[in-house]
Amino acid sequence: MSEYFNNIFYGVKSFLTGMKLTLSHFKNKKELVATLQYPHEKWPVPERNIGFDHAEYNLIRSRLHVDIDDCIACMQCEKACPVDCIKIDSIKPPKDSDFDCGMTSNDTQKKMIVSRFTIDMSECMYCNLCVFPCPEECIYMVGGPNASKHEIDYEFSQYERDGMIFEFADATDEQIKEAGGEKWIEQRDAKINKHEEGIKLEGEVKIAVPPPVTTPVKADESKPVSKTAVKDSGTGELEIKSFNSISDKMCRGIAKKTFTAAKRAGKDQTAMLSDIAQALSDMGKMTDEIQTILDGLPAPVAEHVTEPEIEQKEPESIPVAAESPTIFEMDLKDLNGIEDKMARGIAKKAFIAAKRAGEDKVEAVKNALEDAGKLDTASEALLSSFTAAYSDSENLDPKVESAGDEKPESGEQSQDLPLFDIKDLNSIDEKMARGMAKKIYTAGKRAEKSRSEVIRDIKAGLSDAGKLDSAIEELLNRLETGS
Amino acid sequence: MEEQLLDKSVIETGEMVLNMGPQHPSTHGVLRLKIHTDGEVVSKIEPIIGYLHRCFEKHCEKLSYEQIVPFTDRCDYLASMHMDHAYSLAVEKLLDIELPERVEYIRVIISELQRIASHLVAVGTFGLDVGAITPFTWTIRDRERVLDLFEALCGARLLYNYIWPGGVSHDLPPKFLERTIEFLEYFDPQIDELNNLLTTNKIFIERTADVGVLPPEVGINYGVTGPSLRGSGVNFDLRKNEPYSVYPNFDFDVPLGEGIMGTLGDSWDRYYVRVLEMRESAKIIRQAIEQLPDGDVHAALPKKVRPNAGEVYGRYESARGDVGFYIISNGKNIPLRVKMRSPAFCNLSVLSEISEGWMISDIIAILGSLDIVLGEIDR
Repeated sequence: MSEYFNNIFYGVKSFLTGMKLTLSHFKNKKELVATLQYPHEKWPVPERNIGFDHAEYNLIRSRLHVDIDDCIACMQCEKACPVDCIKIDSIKPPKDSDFDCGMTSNDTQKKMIVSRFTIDMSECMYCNLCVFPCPEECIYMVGGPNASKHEIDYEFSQYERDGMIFEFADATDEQIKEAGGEKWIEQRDAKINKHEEGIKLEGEVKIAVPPPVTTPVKADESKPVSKTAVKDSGTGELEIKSFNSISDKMCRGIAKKTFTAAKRAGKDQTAMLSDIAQALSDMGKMTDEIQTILDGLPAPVAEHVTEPEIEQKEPESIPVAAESPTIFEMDLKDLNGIEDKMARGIAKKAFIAAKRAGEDKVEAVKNALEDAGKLDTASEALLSSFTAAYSDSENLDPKVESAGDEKPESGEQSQDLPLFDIKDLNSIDEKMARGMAKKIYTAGKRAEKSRSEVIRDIKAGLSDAGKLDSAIEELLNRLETGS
Repeated sequence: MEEQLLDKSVIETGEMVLNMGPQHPSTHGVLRLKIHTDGEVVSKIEPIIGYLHRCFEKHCEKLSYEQIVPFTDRCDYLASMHMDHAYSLAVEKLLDIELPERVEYIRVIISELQRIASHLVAVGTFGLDVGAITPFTWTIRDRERVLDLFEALCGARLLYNYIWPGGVSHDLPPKFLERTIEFLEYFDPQIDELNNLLTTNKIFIERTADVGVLPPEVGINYGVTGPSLRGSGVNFDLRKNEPYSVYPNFDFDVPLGEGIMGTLGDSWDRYYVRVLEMRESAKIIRQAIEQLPDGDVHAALPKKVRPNAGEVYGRYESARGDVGFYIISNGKNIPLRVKMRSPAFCNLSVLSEISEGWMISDIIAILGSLDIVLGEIDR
């Protein structure tokens, strides 16, 4: 019985002792606080006399550094490294040449020049073993004898592995050649070439900008003009990076989004900038700072986009049948600019339905959003950018059509048109018919047939299979004329 | 209670195999335990190791004697100095060289500081395993001070490459001894606080006393060493039994388990031996600082470590127990074979024996009291 109570007493007592102890730490917490507000405060780097005698050597193992002017290429550090992260190549000038390799700061005559001194810090295990054998004391952990030259940086880090590979050798190719290192350069270049070849074999391709959606222009045109080509040639190119100078995160985002949408729609820079300004002021985010940034952006290249079109239309023979409408065609991806998830879904659904039915997509999306009560300023701005573009192109249409009308024989003209895109066949609703059409298309493409021939083949193939209905025929006719 | 649960005649139950780890905070690393249980009562444990295997011994066949030191660091990463020291002792035995007194004293000071740091982690994480979170933050805070000392000493905080065959890489930095004394002054009251907060806490005692009793003869048969064996009352400490370095010059006790809170050799005893050992280490450091002679720490450093053909086995009392390095030399600067005896490996092997009949939550306490480091077990 007494043991039972003793137990309870002891339990309560030890609990209270612990609590008392913890509370006592609350009183003088300033003294005993161990937490460091890290990015704002840092522990001091341990102090020690800086010098190269063993007794006073300061060795914060931050990273390796080499004073390359003092290196005599004795390879001692390379040998000492347990993980082989140091790679040294050196070239000894031939005896009869009078090439001067220079002196070290210890007044030792150098006999070789260092053509390569690479340290891969991502392999380094910071054991410090390479530092001690060096006769010229030129390799050391940063924080060594020349600490004043380097920042002692203990959160030393890189975003990419390549950033951890340090090349210290600074001999130029001319110097190496002078010292008789042509062979070394040859070997090095061969190695680099091999490496690049390897990259090619592995299939690491640079991401190319997707080609702009344009209906094919006549092959023997004086200059096939695509909009992006013109824009690229412009000097004051407006890039998405230009907006990085906007400090406010949200504004930057909006600006970039509007820019991308406008770029997709193929607008010129003036229109883009005004769009961005419009979008920002819609959101109430327009400040003087942003205005100055926008003003400071590359001046719009004077009507670069429109000029070629005008040029194009002057010669009568050019059959740019409805080039513009397809450029301004709204893509499903453009709707990704709508932020609200639900609204985006509705918009996409409406878009697809409109596409199937062949209606005005922008209008359909707008109506659908309005019905759902999801039409906000941002998405409206996005859509209106398309409507504007669309109406622009419609304005152009009559001219184009009239230009087309003047051509006496449209059949011949369409024969010369290059092959249409396989994606155009996606609008065939029936799965089987689509598949067949695509198969015939690919076969025709391989055989380098002309547009009309391919379409004739498709028609024949489909009617043989009994799959040719009026909708497909209409589509194919449209494709044949290139509209 | 346990007997009743184990009695199969009451309810017929089947065996279940439970997998704990390798990613489990209480296994102290990447250790996987296959626990055979009957209900919640453990009948057998199979530790599955090798998740941290880095081919240390194979590496050694390719590296010169000096280059192996940074790799020994990475075996027991909580007591890197001990591994450096153990390896260096074996190589020096092979080389048959006399060291300057100062080197030996520096090594002792550093090793005992490392023992304090290692035991602080052991004690703290043991508390964490059984549910006491505050002591862990306190011990880690104190360990940080030791690491700061090491950083001033050799520039690294965890993997030092400081003790070399034939000496140490640097002499002590200025003010190092003063700072060490300062730390010891600060540290002694911290042990009292730890005792008040954790050691005598009723909940802690209930969780650990009488749990996982390791009888002395079982411990000896399994090759258990270090504080885990001394917790069972076996007086075996290489610093006393087979003295190396300058340990005979110091006056210190070997703390032994006495079964104060329960049976001799329970988890609480193993824990308490570590707490007492920290006090003894502090005692040794104070004596070593007083006796520290002057001299050149690089006097005996060989230009090139190239021992004569032969073999050697060096033993060392690390924070976890008896570390052994068996080195065969064929007269080159690269050893023919290096074999390491890992104390934590032997300590882990006794786990199945002593945890039979305990519940799963007690396994956590037993494993924590053995203080294993997987870097050393897997090598």
